[in-house]
Amino acid sequence: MAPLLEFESVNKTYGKKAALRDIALTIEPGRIVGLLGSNGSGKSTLLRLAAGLNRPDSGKIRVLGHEPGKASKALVSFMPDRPQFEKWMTVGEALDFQRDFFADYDPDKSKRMLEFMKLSRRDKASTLSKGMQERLQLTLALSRRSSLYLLDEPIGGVDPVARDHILDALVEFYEEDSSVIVSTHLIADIERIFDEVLMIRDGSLLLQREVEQLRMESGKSVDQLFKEVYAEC
Amino acid sequence: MLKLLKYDVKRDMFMLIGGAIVLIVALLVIEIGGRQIGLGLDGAAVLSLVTYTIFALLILMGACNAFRLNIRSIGRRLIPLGSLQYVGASLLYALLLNAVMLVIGGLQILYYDANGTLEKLIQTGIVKIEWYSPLPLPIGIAFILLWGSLFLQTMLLLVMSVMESLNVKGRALIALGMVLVLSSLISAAENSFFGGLGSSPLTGFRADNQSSITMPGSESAAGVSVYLFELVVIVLFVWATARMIDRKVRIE
Repeated sequence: MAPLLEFESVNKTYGKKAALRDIALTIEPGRIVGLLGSNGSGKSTLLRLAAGLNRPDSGKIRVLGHEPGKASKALVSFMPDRPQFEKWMTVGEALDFQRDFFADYDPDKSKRMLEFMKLSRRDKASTLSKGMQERLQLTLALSRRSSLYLLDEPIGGVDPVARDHILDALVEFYEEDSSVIVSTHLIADIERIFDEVLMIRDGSLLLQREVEQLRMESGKSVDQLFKEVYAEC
Repeated sequence: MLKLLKYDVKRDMFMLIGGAIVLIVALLVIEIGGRQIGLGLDGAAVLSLVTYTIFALLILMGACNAFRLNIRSIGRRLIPLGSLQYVGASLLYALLLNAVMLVIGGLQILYYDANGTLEKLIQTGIVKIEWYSPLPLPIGIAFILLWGSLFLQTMLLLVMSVMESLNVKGRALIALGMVLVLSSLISAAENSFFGGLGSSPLTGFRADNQSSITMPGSESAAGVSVYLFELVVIVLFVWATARMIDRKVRIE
C-alpha cells in the first residue's frame, strides 16, 4: 500500500528563519503518530504543509500520491491550533460547513461525537470555553472519514479531565485504516496512544521510530526521552 | 463557488438585511419627508442618487472585506476548492448585492413612472439622459453599472490579495497606491488604444448641482472593442489574484 504521507527533502523558511530543514519522512496507513517538539520547533509548519495551507520552498510532499492542493485537501482532515470555525457560527453550522464541502463527512459519526463531547448544535461556537472549543475542533476533524488526520496541539491549553476526554474521543473515532499525526509537547498525557513518534528540533527531524522499539532501545518512556532530548534547548 | 457564496451571505445576513432596510427607509424619508418639508422633485432626485452612490460604495467595501476574510481564514482555505473559486464567489457576491440594489432602484423608477414623476423629472430637465446605444435604456444602464462594478471589483480583489501577502507596515497605503497606479495604467492604455473613446455609451452619472442629474452619453463610444479589452484585463486580474492566493496570501 502506498504511504499516506511522504516528505522528501522539504525546506521551509519564514523570512530569514528556517522553519523546516531537509525533512524526509514517510507515514504508513493505520498509525497514530506523535509529532513531538518544543515550541517553535516546526511542528505546526510541518502539519500546515501537509494540509496544503503553505507551500514548501523546496522538496516534495505527497499525500496518497497527490501534491498538496485541491485533491489532497479532500483526503486530509486538519485540526489547526486555532479555531477553524467562524465566529458567527453555531456548533451545528460549523458541522454543516464540513458537510457542505467535504464528501467524506459522516453525519452519523458527527452525531455520536456531539453526544460523546457533550456539545449542542445550538451553542454558539465562539462563546464555548477553551476546552469545549477544542472538543468542537476535534469533532469537526474526526466527523470526516479521512485517510489522514493532522491534529495540531489537540490538548494544548485544556485541563487534565478534558485532555483525557479528548484522547478517548480520538481513539474512539479515528478511522483504523487511516493515520493520525498528533503534534504535542505534552507527552506524558498522550504517550499511551502513539504507535510511532517523530521528534523535531529547530526544524530538523531528529528521529522517526516505533514507540515500543524506542522504549526497548532506551529503556525509558517517550516522555523521559523527550525531556532529555529537549533539555539541551 | 455557490456554497462559498451561501456561507458569505449567511455570515453577513444581519448586515445585508439591515443595509437593505436602511436603504429603503432612507429612500422613503427622502420621498415622504421631502414632501413634508417642501423638498422639490429636483432635490429628492439628487438625494436619492447620492444615497444609491453611498450604498454602492458600501457594497464594494463589504464585498472586498468578505474576500479578505475568506482568503485569510484557515477554515475556508482548508476546503478542497481552487483559488479561482474564492475570486468567483466574491465577484458573485458583489454582483448579487448590486443586483439587489438595482432592483430597489428599478422599483423606485417604476413607481416614479407610474405616478408621473419620471416624466416631470425629464420634462423639467432635472434628469438629462443622453443615450445613443441601440440597447433599451433600462437594460443598458443595468449592464453598464454591473460591468463597471465587476471591473472595479476584480482590480480591488487583486489589490486585497497583494495586501494580504505582505508582512510590512503601511499595507493599506500600499494598497491605495496600487489602486491609483492600476487605474491610471488602465486609463492610459484605453486612451492610447482607443483614442480616448470611452467603453460605455453612457459615460457616467453626474449630479451637476443640487437640482439636476446628468447622465452624459457618447455618440462615438468605441463599443465592443473596449469591452473586449476590459474583459482581457478582468481575466488577467483574476488570474493574478488566484496566483497570489495560491502562493503568497498569509493564512491566519
